Amino acid sequence: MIATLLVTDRMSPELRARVLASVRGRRGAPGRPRAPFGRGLLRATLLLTVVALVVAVLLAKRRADAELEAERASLLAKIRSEASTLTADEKRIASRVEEWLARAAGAYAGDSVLGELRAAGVFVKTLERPTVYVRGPVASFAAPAGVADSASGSFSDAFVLCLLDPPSTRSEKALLQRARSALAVGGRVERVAPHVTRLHDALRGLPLLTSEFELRVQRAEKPRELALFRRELERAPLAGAKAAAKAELLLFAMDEPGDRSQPAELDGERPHYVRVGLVDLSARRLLVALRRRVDPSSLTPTARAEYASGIDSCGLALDVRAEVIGEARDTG
Amino acid sequence: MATESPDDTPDLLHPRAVRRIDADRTRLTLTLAFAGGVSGGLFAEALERATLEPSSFEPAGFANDLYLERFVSQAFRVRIGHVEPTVTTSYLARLLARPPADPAVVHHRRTVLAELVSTPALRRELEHLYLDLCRLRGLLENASGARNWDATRRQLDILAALKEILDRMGAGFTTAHSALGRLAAFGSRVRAGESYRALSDLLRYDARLATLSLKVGVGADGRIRGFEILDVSEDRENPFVSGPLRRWLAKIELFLRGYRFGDGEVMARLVDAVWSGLEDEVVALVELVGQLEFYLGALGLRDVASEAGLSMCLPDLVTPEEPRALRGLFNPLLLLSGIKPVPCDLASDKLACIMLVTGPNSGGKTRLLQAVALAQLLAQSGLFVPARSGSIALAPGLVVSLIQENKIDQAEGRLGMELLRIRSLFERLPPGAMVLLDELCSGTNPSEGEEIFELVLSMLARLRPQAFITTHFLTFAARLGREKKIPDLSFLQVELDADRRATYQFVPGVAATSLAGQAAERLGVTGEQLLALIEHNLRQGRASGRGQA
Repeated sequence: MIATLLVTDRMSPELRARVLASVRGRRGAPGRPRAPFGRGLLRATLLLTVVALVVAVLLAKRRADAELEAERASLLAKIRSEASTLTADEKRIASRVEEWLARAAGAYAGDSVLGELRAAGVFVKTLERPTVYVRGPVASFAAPAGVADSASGSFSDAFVLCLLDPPSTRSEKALLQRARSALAVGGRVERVAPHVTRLHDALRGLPLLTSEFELRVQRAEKPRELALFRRELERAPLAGAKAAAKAELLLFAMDEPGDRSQPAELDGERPHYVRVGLVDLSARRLLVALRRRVDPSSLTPTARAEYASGIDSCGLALDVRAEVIGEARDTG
Repeated sequence: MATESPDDTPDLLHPRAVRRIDADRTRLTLTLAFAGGVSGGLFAEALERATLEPSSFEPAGFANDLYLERFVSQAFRVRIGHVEPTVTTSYLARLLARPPADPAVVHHRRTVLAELVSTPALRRELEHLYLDLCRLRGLLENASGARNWDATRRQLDILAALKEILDRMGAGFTTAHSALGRLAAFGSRVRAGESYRALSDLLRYDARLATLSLKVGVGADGRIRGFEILDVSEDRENPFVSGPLRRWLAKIELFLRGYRFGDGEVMARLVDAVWSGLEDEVVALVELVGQLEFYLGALGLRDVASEAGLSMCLPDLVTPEEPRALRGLFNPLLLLSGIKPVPCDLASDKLACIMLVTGPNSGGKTRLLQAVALAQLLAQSGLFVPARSGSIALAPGLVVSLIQENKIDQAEGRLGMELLRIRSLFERLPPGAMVLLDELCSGTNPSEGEEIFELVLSMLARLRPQAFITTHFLTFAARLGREKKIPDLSFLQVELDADRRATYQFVPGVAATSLAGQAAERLGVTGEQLLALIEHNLRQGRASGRGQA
C-alpha cells in the first residue's frame, strides 16, 4: 500500500519505509523532529473548508445555471408557443403598416374610394374583416417612432364605433351618445368591434415573438435578464398582437394640424382636417382615402366642453360612410 | 558503553573491533547536525566521551610532568600538502595517557603504522580519506559558521561527501594487510547495501533528473541563431524519479502534512530518508576520524623529526628479562620547541634496575628523563619512539616526577611536598613499572636528604622497577656505588668533553662534579661578578644621596 506519493514502485522496501517515516516525522529515535501534526491538521481543515466553499459555490452556480436554463427553456417555449400560430409574414405586419402609414402621411393625393365598395353591403361587410386601427397626428406617421407613439395613444374610439355602428341620426344627441359609449369600459365598442385591434398591440407584442427576441433570450447570461424578458412578455398584449398580426385591413385616421387661430376645446379639439384611410393589407391595396374637415364650433357648449373630439370623430365616421356608400343621416 | 561491532567495523586501534563512542547519543547529535548544521565540535565531543581500552597507567602520575597535552597538540599534527586540519587533541591525549594493557592492541597498532610506512600509497590514501572525513565533519558541524540559505543543498553536499568517503574506503585499501583492510571491508559492505544504492540513486537524481538533447544552430557571425530541443528523457530507472503530476501531488501531500509547499520540501524528505539509512555508518566514521588522527599524527611527528635529521622507529618489544637499548634517543619536546636535540644512546641489561643519573647542571639529565618517559609512553601506545632504533619492554605503569612547582595553597614546605610526592609514588606504583625522578630529596640538607634517598631506593628495589633518578648528591651516589647494598643499582653520568662541557651523552659511572662553578660563571654568579654588582649599586646610592642634599 502506498502511504505517500513520494515513494515509487522502484524503491526498495527499506527505502520506502524510511521515506514514509520521514514524511510522517516518526523515525523512532528520541529527539527526532516530529511531523508538524497540528499545522497539518490546521492546513487540512483550512483546505477542506476552502474546498467545501468552492464546492458549495460550484453547486450553487450549477443550480443557478440549471434554474437559468429552465427559465430560459420555459421562456423560449412560451415564445415559440405564442408565435407558433403566426406566419413570418404576419410577424412583419408592423413594417407593412408603417409603410402604408408613411405613404399616407405624405402629400395628400386626393380622395379615392374603391368602386366595388360602393356596392350594397360590400363596405359594411368589408368593415367586418379583422382590422388594425391607429390614429394620431399626421406628422407622427412619417417615422416608426412616431407611429409607435401614436399607436400607444390609439384605442377603438368614437370613430371606429360610429364607422361600424353608426347612429341612426346625425343629431348632436346621437353623436354625443356614441361618443360617451366609446369611452365606456366594456361598453359598446367591445361588442361592436371585437375584430378591431390596436396597432399598438402589434408593435408591442410582435417583437417578442420573433427569432431576434428568442436569440436575446438564448444569449441572456443572468437570471435578471430572463426575468426582465419574462416580465416584458407577460406584460405584452400578446393576444392583441396576434390578432393584429392576422389583421386583413388597416384603418387609420391622421389628424392634420388644426387652425390655431381659433380656440381649442377642453379636450383639445379644434377645427382641422382628418385623413382617413382603409387599406386591404392582404391584397396590398388602398380601399378608401378621404380627407374631411371636422369642426366642433357648431356643437352646443355643453356637449362641446367634454366630448367635442368624440362627436367630431363620430361625425367623421358618418362622413366616411356617406362618401363610400352614400349613406345619409337625418341631422334632426 | 563499548559494544561489539561487526568485523568490518573500521576500528583501526583494536584487534577486536569495538565501538567505543556512545552510538545512540552520537546518532542523535548527527541527526540534529544534519538537519540544522549545529556549530561546535560534534566529532570532538563524541570522541572525548569515547571509552578507551583498559589501561594500567594512571595519567595523574606522569601527564603534567611530561606536558602531555602540549606534547600532543604540538606533536600530533596532520599536514597534508598545504592543509593542516585541526585534530582532536583531547582524544589523542587520552589515548596516549592510557596506553592499552593488552600487548595485542599494541602489536595491532604497530602493524598498521608499519604498513603505512612501508606502503606510501596506503598512507596517501589514508590522508585523502582523512581530508574527506574532515570535509564531512566541516559540513556537519557547519565549520564555516555561514548561514544555510539552502538547507537541502547542504544536506546533499553532506551525502555527496559521504559517498566519496565510502567509495574511497571500498576501493582504496583492498591491498592492505593490516587493520587498514577493515576500511576496505567496511566500504565494500556499505556499498553493497541498500542504503548506499539509495544514496547513489538520490545523488544521481539530484544531478540528472532528465536528459535534454539539444540542437543549436550557429550563424555565420558565430551567434546562436537556433535552439531546438530534440528529445527529453527522464531517468526512469531511478527509483526517485516520478512523473510531473505525481511530483506536484506529492507537494500537496506534504503541504497537508504540515510541511512547506515546494520542490525543496520533497527533496528534503527524500534526503532525510536516505540519510537515516546511513546514520549507523556515519557513527562509525566519527570514531574513525580520531583513529586516523592517531596514526597520521604519529606519522606527522616522525616527518618532523626526519626533517630535523632525527629518526623515529617502532622499537622491538622485548620481555622484561631481555636487555634493552635505545639508540639515537632524543627529546621530542625539545624538537617541538624548535631546538634540535642531541641524540644519545641508552642501554640497560635488564628490566629491574635503578639507574642513578649524575652530571653537571644543564647537562641534559632532566631532558633524558623526559625522553625516556615519552619513548616508553609512545611505545606503550604502539607508536614510533623518538629513537633511531632500540628495544623496549612494556611496563605496567609509569610515574614521572620532574616538576617541583611551589603552589600558593600548598600545605607543606619543599621537603614536605617532596615527601608527599614519595608517598604518592609508592601508593600508585605497581611492580615492574617505570619510574623517573628528578633530583630526589633536593629540598633539605644533604645528610638528611641522603637518608631518605637511600630509603626510597631500597624500597623501590622491592618493586623491581625500571627507574631513572637524577641527583646532585655525588658523594652519596659514589658511596652507593662502592657499597653495592642496593641490588640492581647502576649509574650513568653526563659525558664531558675535553673542555669539561657536557656532550649530552651518558656513560656509566658517577660524576665527580656538578660543575656548579661553571654554571655560576656562565650565569654571572662568581665572587668577582657579584662584587662588581655591589660596588655599582653603592656608587649609584651615593650619587643619589648627593642629589637629594
